[in-house]
Amino acid sequence: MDSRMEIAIAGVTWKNPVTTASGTFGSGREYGEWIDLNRLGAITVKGVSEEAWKGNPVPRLAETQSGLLNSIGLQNAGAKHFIENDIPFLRQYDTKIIVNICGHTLSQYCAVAERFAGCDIDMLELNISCPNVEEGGLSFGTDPHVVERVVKAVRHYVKQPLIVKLSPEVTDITEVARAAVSGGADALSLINTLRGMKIDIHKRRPILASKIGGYSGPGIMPVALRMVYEVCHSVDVPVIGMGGISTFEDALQFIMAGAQAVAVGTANFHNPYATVEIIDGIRKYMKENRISSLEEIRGCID
Amino acid sequence: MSTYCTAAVINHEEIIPGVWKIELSAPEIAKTARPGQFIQLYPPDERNLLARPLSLSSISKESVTVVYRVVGQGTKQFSCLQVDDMVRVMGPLGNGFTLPDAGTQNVIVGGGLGIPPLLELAKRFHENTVVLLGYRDDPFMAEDFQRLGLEVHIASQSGNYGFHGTVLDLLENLTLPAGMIFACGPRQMLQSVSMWAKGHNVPIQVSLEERMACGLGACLGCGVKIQKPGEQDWRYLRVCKDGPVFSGEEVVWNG
Ligand SMILES: Cc1cc2nc3c(=O)[nH]c(=O)nc-3n(C[C@H](O)[C@H](O)[C@H](O)COP(=O)(O)OP(=O)(O)OC[C@H]3O[C@@H](n4cnc5c(N)ncnc54)[C@H](O)[C@@H]3O)c2cc1C
Ligand SMILES: Cc1cc2nc3c(=O)[nH]c(=O)nc-3n(C[C@H](O)[C@H](O)[C@H](O)COP(=O)(O)O)c2cc1C
Ligand code: FES
Repeated sequence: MDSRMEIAIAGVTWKNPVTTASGTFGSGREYGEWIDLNRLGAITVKGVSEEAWKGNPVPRLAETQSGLLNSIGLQNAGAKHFIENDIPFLRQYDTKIIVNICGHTLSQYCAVAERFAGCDIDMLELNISCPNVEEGGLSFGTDPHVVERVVKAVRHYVKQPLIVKLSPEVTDITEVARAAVSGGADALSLINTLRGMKIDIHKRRPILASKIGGYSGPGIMPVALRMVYEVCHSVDVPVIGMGGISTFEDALQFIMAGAQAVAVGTANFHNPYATVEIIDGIRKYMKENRISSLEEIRGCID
Repeated sequence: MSTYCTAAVINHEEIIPGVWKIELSAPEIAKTARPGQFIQLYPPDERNLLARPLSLSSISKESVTVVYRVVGQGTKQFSCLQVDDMVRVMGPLGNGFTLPDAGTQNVIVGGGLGIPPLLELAKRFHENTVVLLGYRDDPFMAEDFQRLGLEVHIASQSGNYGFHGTVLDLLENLTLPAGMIFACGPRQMLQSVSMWAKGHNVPIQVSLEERMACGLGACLGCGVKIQKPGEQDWRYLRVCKDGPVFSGEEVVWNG
């Protein structure tokens, strides 16, 4: 039996359901020295803002048991640099390009979305976990009303299918998911990182210069899986699941919970071949279990 | 080209209490490695997700050697590795030192655990090279440099061995004009040696450390503030990909 891994999200067809989690894979250049980028369903790039952002002070990384804390602070060279350098690079490959965008104000979000309107990219992913500087640094993603407003405003400028990436730092993820969809999201992705801390007891100070950072990796997977499951049961748009996925078994759990596709993040740091090993693993599982399309198992957990 | 492989431990010894020298069979890494580059060594316990960056101390045809101090969970696990055990490793990574033109008067300056990463560099120099080594207490690996036939000066802060003082004192006492400085060691030392170099108009290459996740330039976790000549402001470059070796004049040391 020929196992087909192809999937479609908001009208965009990926050759397989595996992409990269934003911020863990740059624009693919570095990992391209290790893996064949043509093999990926899509490449989701590091967050891009309208102007260049310097990022947070170092140390920006702390290892935890089965996880990682980061406070990169969305360092990036800005939309202009990205458009001139990264899109031509990515277009050399037979994979979909998903540009993740970020902003500190509503107008910054709109401005960066507008910059990409005329660009040759396949999808746009809106990171709403950024601190809202006009509201005392509270994340945009925590209030359903704010989420709906931001998505609606950005939607106006976006020409590509729009993925809204949800923050897990909410009491009811389905409420935010519905807000994003009613604002105009064509698809949802989740989860972004959970905020965490690590303290050096000898120096009596946090490891991260920013004290608090985003927690990712295998440690967050059960939470991510639960949220993806809940969201898949509460909205009709396709969902890209992520959070701690390191193996094909992890990826299949997300698909069975209802995800259309999955993103691999922190696992890349542990194993530069993680993405392609996951693709190969899913294919092997499909063959062994005589599954011809992922539809047969998607959302099988009711 | 870098590779990601499983390497066998060929030799492993504790050279002074808490400091270990490990030789790994890794012909693919050894083939392209240059002095000043590093490897990412993966702790055997997979709950430690991140590999540990360690600078190459020597490179031979089939193997690479690193010297590390046991400081935390990962290095503690490394110290339990036995000969013939297998360990995951990625490398060589980073830019490495830029070798000077022939005839340049080289000054190699190492402090503590910054000393081993300078050995392979010293091996590439046959003459016109002075080596200044600074220790807190008892020296290690000094004889490896002496064996190369280079002029070696030693300082210890405790005064237990060699000159009572720091490498900066040794630098002050240099009798010949330095053409290029290569330095590796604690950040404080690198900063003061860079200030000295600036004051004496000597170009300097320093090897820096920062916490890493990917080790290959993708995550932007390992920032170092760099301001290149002619640039208006500093920006964060990546220690793992743009470094670990930087021009000492371009590093923004404070803040
Ligand atoms: C380019 C480079 C070359 C290095 N070369 C050497 C060497 O040749 N010999 C040597 O003894 N040490 C070297 N270090 C430092 C070495 O990487 C750390 O001592 C080691 O990672 C500590 O790991 P751990 O698990 O024992 O400590 P833990 O504190 O348990 O580590 C927790 C996390 O913090 C990171 N970390 C802790 N301290 C450092 C540090 N100083 N620098 C970078 N990351 C750190 C670890 O990698 C790990 O991700 C180098 C660092 C860099 C960046
Ligand atoms: C170093 C690092 C940088 C990240 N940068 C971004 C980013 O720029 N934009 C974004 O939406 N998410 C960012 N994330 C979050 C990831 O895309 C992902 O949602 C999260 O890490 C959970 O997946 P994982 O456990 O597989 O890493 C980043 C995560 C890490 C670890
Ligand atoms: S460690 Fe990821 S960019 Fe340097």
